[in-house]
Amino acid sequence: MIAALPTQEQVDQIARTLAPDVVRIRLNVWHDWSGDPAIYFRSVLSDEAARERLAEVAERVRQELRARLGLDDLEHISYFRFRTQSEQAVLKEKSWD
Amino acid sequence: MGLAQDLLQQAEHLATWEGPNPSQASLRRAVSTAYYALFHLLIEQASLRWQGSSEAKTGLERGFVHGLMKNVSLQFGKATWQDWHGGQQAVPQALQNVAQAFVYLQDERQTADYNNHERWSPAEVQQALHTARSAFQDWDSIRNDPMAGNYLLAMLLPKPRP
Repeated sequence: MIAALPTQEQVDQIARTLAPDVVRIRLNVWHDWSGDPAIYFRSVLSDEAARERLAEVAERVRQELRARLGLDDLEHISYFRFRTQSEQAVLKEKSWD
Repeated sequence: MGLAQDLLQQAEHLATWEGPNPSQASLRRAVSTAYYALFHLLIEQASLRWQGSSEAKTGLERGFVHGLMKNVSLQFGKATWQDWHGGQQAVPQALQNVAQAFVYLQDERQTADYNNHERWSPAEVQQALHTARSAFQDWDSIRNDPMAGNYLLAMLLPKPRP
């Protein structure tokens, strides 16, 4: 059985449980470079969390999203990207806001 | 030290040599180089298993194709892999980690090299480097496991035998 694609609302709920390390997580269902169906999770982390515990927090976010959204049961490949709140304030990219 | 380790070191250097405000060019090259570090690690490990001539070894190394390596990594990134005889084999967690890292870094590399709309931050690049470093460590812990050999062999063969 193929699980349903996650919604931004579900992702928001998970992000709230990961606060204050996680500021928000943006979901984008698209395809990857080779055309495979893909889900991109763009997580904005607090500066403190990224400065002190980037790898640890990133791993926790990945694990939570995988487990609670059943990502391993999807046809879509999951990709996770991370940046800090202050980095996004400078880069101002829509897909992360 | 082999090419793969050199590339991993070079990726770290590219990400940090300009200090706290690195250029987009350095960040992109760091991500791309991190992917190629893992790519070459797997090729080196496959060629180490080859006992034939050095010419044939070069041919074997050239037989690795990015797209097939990704597809095989998608298979080995899961808990079980369908083996050469149709049976289900458990994939050790460390090998799953390597395979997942390969898929992730390959996509990051494509974005870094070809998507000029995407801008990179130091934290994103540090995460890519961390993934590459962890994949090297995971590979070191699993490289003598028979499943590691299956992973490398599958990357050279389009489909397992029925």
